[in-house]
Amino acid sequence: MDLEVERRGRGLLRRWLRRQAASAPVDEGLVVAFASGKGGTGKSFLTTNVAIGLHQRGLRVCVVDCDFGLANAHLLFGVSPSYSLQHLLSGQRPLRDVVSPTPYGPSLVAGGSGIASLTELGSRHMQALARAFGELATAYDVVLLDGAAGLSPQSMITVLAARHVVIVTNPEIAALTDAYAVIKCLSRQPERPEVQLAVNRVTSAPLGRATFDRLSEVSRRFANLPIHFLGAVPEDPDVSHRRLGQAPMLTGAPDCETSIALNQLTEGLAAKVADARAQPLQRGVEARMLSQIRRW
Amino acid sequence: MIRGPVLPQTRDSLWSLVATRLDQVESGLTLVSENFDCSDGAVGPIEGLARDAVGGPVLVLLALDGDALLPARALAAGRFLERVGDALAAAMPAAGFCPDAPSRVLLIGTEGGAAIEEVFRLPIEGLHACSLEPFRVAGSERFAVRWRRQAAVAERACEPSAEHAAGGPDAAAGHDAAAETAFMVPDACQELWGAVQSLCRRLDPAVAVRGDRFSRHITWSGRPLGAVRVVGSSLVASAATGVVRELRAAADVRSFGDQLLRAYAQHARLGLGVPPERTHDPRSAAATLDRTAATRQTAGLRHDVAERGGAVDAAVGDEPGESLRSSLAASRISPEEHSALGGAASSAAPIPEASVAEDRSQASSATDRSGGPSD
Repeated sequence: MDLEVERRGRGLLRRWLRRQAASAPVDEGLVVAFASGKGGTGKSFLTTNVAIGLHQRGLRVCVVDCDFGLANAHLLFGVSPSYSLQHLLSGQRPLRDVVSPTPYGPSLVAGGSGIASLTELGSRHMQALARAFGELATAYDVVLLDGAAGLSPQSMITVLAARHVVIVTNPEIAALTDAYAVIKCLSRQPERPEVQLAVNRVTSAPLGRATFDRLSEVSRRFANLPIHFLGAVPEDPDVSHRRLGQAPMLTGAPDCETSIALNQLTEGLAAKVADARAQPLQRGVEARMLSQIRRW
Repeated sequence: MIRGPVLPQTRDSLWSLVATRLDQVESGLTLVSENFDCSDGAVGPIEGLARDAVGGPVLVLLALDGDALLPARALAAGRFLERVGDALAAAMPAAGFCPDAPSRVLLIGTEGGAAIEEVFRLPIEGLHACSLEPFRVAGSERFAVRWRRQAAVAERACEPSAEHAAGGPDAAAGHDAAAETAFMVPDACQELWGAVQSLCRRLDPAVAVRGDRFSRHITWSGRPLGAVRVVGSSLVASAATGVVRELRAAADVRSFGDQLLRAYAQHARLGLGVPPERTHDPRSAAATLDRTAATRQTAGLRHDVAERGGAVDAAVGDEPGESLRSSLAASRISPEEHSALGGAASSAAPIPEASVAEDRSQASSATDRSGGPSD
């Protein structure tokens, strides 16, 4: 086909065909971003455990720790990767060297320690990150982006590149307010991911639902953005008291109440993976992210 | 199978064939009334009164050899239009004539007939003529329309489009532009029509644009890509893909161009590649990464990103222009929203106070989780 186009030498046609190729449904895995707005809500905890749960369901999963400077997903997975996103973004290592296996199944791209925070990344770095996300989405069924706390253009770019965003919050006003700030920002975007809400550290099952209802009501009323309830994870002293090197909850204590809730969350996301396969998007994660970078 | 001329030569049978297919003679031509008398019975009625694509009254005459009264009727028709042509719109509101549209006489003859040439010598303002070349296909009668030279007066009155004056794509494509009928593009649509022509030129030199006064058919190697028609004071484009759209802005031209390209790609067999089926072998992730990296290296990574960026530009070109920074700045939470979230007196369903208090204390010790920080 390319030869034929070249022979014709029609620039208009070449551009159109390229555009068609770019807008053809892409065959790539589901990209899910975990965000919160406020720190300490349990994003990394949920990301790592959901990743393990999805892997246990036979899916190829990769976790990308986007929380530069405060990267800790490798600690929760109990690994010490030799290379991180820092090496990828500086061009020192290719992506395949930066992807580390973990003992629990999912692959991990560790956050860099040489970058103080995500907000330090310029557009060139973000483009490289977009390219990496695109390659990972091609290679894996699910790519989970463990986002940074706070609202910055860079963190929003990573969130907007995803097909689903899981907003992790706690049933307290500070976390709710910050979660709503993320939702409000998302509501203003022309192209945005589907918003799921996970309420972490609830003291009772009804509290998780009540928290969702309140945030959902405010989102619908003020931001005109519907959100979906992914699930609630109960407060569990065992989570707080786990030590470094201990297995994550889902493998270390699979029968506890927290693991059951985590499995329910995982089920919800696994269903999204199936939906994504059935309805591929016109643009891949890389194209979506590049378009957001241009809006920076 | 195509045979020789079979078009009926008698007035009634020719008219019955033409009257039902006036739109094929000229795009948008619609019959308003038959047997229209414009000479107070002196030379008999003319075949019909029609309305053209821009709402102009058109007196339709059949030119048949041996019709002795034809020149007289043609002259009567021309004088009638001179006298009352401007008043027809008001006098016949049901006909839907446009008050500003020029009126004219349309003479329809058969190929090889001498009657048309005879009438052309007469000084009739606004006289247009065409001859029908008949043929039969699969038992049914068809005709090809061949436009004869147009009256100079009418051309001046109708302000022909820039295409005709400057030698448009037809001339560029090697056709005899002088033989083509001027495309009567409404003034407001000249720029849009120019954009369509430019698009056709850029698509392929072999793309031909031909038609009558109120339509242009766009073809490539004899295959239809689309058509543009004058409807009232606007242009309506219909692509071979089946999409019909009024051309009101540049975006409509782009969209029509996209459909033309689709039709062209289909005819030229320039199919788009289909991505290979996705494998679900968990072990293949690393191999896929290697393959992807190798492919990108071959293609040239920077070039690839630049191209994709360009494609993305085109894809998101119509999106609202608010920047991310503006979105973030506008995401500040109002007191009403804060209140609704439970930050102060709230109308929303309250979260049990005991639970909130408990959660607050737990949240404050979130960083105490000994498994490492939560986030």
